[in-house]
Amino acid sequence: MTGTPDFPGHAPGREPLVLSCILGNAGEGVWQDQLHEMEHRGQVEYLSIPETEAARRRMRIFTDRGRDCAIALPREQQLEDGAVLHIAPGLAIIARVYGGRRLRLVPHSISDALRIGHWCGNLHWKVVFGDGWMEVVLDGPEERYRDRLRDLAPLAGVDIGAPE
Amino acid sequence: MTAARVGIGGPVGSGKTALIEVMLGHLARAGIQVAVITNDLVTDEDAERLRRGGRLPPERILAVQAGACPHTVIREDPTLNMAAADRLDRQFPGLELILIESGGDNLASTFSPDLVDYWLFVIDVAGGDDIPRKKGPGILQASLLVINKADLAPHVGVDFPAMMAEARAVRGGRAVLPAVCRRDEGIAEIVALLRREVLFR
Ligand SMILES: Nc1nc2c(ncn2[C@@H]2O[C@H](COP(=O)(O)OP(=O)(O)OP(=O)(O)O)[C@@H](O)[C@H]2O)c(=O)[nH]1
Ligand SMILES: [Mg+2]
Repeated sequence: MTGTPDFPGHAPGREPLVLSCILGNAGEGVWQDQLHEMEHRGQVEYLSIPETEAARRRMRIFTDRGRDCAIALPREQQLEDGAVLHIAPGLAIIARVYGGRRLRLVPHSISDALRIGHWCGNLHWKVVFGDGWMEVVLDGPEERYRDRLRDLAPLAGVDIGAPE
Repeated sequence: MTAARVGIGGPVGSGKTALIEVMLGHLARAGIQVAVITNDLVTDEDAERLRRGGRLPPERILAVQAGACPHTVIREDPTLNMAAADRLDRQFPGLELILIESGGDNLASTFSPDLVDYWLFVIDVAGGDDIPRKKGPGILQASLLVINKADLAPHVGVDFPAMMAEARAVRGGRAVLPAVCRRDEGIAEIVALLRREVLFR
């Protein structure tokens, strides 16, 4: 979660650790051995970032161990799952971008798909496309999204469900 | 590090430009290097007003004309604003903060995270105390909701503490702050939050 002034892990008055670029991805071969070893020694800390916030270049956020961090990325970089933001003797910091909750929409026909695409676009929903389906990334209660989709029901045939 | 980009959106006349005017004083006292981009429909009205205010050198204030619905240039296709911000970054090395004012819009207006790192949604009490209850995406998703013109509450029959409480409830813990831009009340708290969340100093 992004920080708030009264976050329990925050040590007031101390400077945050500034993370000013993405050094690579933890999944890349070059990092794996080093990170694996550091993980064993308890030297890897994680930042949990919801998918809906991952496009931000700056944020104040705490690691899973309560370390106060300030992300300030160059405009051409973007947070992704596994992004290595800090590596130094004794401490590595890695971003975990969690997919958040989604709703999968499966249209019955091409005509239905056109309607649904236009509808969700008008609502400015963040979506992810797949083969024959589209998933809406939920930023808030699922009910809020289902309420909007109910109005669509008479116009387009669509199955609504959880992602597989 | 390039400058932090902070959006300021909200309905027509809620006090977005007034907030920027009064924030500029606080930011200058803190020694923070600022530039502003205004978005108006088909004029440079707000940019001209900020230039007349004299709190920033005129070349640090750029105007983008949306031409159509204001949200199109902060969300659907923010390239005009991104280009303006890139230009300010290049032109003023050491710039720390770019404030981007959206043209007055409706409660559904939101900023693209491609454009800004943090955004404020400014509403005012004269718009009615039911506005937070209406839960538009602007109200719900903004990094910070500012309820301005608290001074007018008694004149428009608004129970201000109740309106604040309701706003906090619908936003599920995200920040809400009161303001009277006209009297510089509540602005120090807004600036302190910005410094903490995106300026880091
Ligand atoms: N009473 C009172 N009036 C205010 C306050 N803040 C702003 N105003 C007045 O509200 C009017 C609109 O303020 P602006 O700053 O132009 O609002 P805006 O949101 O920038 O407007 P647009 O850009 O046109 O959407 C002006 O007449 C301001 O003087 C406040 O705190 N109290
Ligand atoms: Mg204005």
